[in-house]
Amino acid sequence: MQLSSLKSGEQGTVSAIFADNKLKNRLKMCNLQVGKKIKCIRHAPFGGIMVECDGICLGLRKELAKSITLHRVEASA
Amino acid sequence: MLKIALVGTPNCGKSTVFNALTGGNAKTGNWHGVTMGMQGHAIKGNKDCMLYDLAGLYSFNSYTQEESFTKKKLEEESFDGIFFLIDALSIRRSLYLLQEVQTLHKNICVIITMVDLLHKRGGYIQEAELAKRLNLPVFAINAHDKKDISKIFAAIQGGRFPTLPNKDVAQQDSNSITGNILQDIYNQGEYRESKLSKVLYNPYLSLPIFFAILLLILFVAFAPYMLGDFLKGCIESFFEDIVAGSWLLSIFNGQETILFAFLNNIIVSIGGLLAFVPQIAILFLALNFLEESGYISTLAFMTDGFFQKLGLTGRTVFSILMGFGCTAVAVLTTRGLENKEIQKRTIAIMPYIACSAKLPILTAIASSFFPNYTFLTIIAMYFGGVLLALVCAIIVKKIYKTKEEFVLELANLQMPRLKILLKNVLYNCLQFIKKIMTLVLAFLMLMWLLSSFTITFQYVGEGSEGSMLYYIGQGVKVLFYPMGIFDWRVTVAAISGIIAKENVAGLLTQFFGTNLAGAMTVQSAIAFTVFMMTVTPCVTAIASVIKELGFKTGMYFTFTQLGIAFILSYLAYWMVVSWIFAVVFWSLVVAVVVTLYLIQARRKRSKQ
Repeated sequence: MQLSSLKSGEQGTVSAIFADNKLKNRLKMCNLQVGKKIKCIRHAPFGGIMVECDGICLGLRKELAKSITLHRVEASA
Repeated sequence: MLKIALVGTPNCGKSTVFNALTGGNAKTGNWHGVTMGMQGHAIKGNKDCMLYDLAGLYSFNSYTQEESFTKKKLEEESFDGIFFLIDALSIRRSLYLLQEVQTLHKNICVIITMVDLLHKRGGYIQEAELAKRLNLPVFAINAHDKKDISKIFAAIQGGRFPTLPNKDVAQQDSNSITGNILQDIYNQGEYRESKLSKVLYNPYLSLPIFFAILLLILFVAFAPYMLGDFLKGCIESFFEDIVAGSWLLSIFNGQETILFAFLNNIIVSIGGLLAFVPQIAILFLALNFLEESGYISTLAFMTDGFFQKLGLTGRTVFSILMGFGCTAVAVLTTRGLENKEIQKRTIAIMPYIACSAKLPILTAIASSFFPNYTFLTIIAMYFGGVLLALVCAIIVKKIYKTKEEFVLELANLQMPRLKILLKNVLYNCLQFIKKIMTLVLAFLMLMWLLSSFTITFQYVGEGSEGSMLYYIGQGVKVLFYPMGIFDWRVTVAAISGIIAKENVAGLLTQFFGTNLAGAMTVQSAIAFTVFMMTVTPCVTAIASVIKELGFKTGMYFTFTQLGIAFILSYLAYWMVVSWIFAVVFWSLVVAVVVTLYLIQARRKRSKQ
């Protein structure tokens, strides 16, 4: 599924990121990379998404969130 | 002399550490990419030690222009040591950058910041063990804590860069640095959202709260008898009644000599400008509060979707807010934006955001022509400017085409420290006072001379026909006729804004006193306001545009803005003067927009 369709409070493991290397690198430095856990905190009006990756809070635009795919993980707690 | 650079990821607290170590006044801000370029300052109590603050970067594979600047500096400059700053909440990712920095510089001392926040989250870091594993000295600190900062002072005592006492122990394996080096000694705790952040990020509350804050700021600063307006009145009457009115009069024994006229005039017009210090202080206090608290980052996230439609990104909120302070500074902040095209778009809309130097003009017009609705008029002017900026954004979007992206690390909200806030506000106010007392004072003196004497140096009284300035004003006067402005003195004042916007209000006071009602009609005053709101910013701002975008684009922007300002103010004048013109004009605009839309829609359909 796409990151953009993750609901607030849900978690997932990133399976692929479709972006150029520069952007991928930037995301990696914000702890967002393939294999890492990611949690959706909320959606913004007009479609942005706020996620938490390993302690870092990130705001992403909807288009970018659509190009990140993940497997949903059921929250353990 | 010891040369030390501060390096770290964006928003890891570099500027806070810099200020703590130097006692200096680096621009901090709970926001990513506040530090611009490189600034150096001697370390407190250690004059032989210079500390350089570099813009934050994530990695050497730079993404923004700022990051490549920092990388370049690290490659070119020879530093005696690097203070490598790591945000305690996300140590792991900084280790990549540390590794990259190590390829260029060997003398590195690691400073882990925000440990207080880490502990709050229930995490921990064992600095001694990390130092051993990295083979580098490590300090874990809270930069706001004097005790923690003194640890670093102690380490650089004697002009030597801190190193580990037993440096040759176990050469670190460069592969392990990013791997399991943190195993068992670091726990980053659990991310928890604070109640405040839940409220501020609430989709229904977020924007109303922002507008409420904006209105509150404007209310306290400009509403009649509120703090800003009250203090302004006090300062004004101090200069007018006490300094000029009684003190100066008594010195001259009531004799109206030329020198008296000169001093009286200069004191009243400079005093009139200095009276804006309280309102400017309130404005900057609010801006600094928004910046330090991290709320701007919230705003950037919440508004990105909206700005996307205008071809901008949420990040531009920061530059726009800074624009209310000073356009020249705001232009420099655009360097942190995603790419050159978005930077150009943002800089293009910047002049329409009313900077603090335009405040005296707007207030003078509002209080002279709309005495019963002064506060509402000022609000209308501010929002009108923002609206204009947004319309401009839609247009430049078509000129500078690019693909926009938006990734933003969101700052942790925090209560700003009062001391830092006040220090920043004091700095901004002093900058304003300095400018008034130097550049503007000199300019007003020169203008007084030019406007009071003929070419043969005969005194004719300020603002008289036949004075030197009268002839200078003749040349450009014609340009203001379509605004219904026929008085050359208003023309000269408007043009003087190119040097500094403070000049405009200063000159108007010099010629007409504090009430401008005699200078022009209400309709002309509206056109004049439109002109002032849209005209090219001052030379300082133009210089920073040139610095960012190059001479050609800078000049292109400057002259386009000048042209647009004239056209818009002509239109504004004719629309207020004649309702028939207004109806015809707006129906034409609607017709053109609808036609363009239809053509576009047809093209789209034919493509499919």
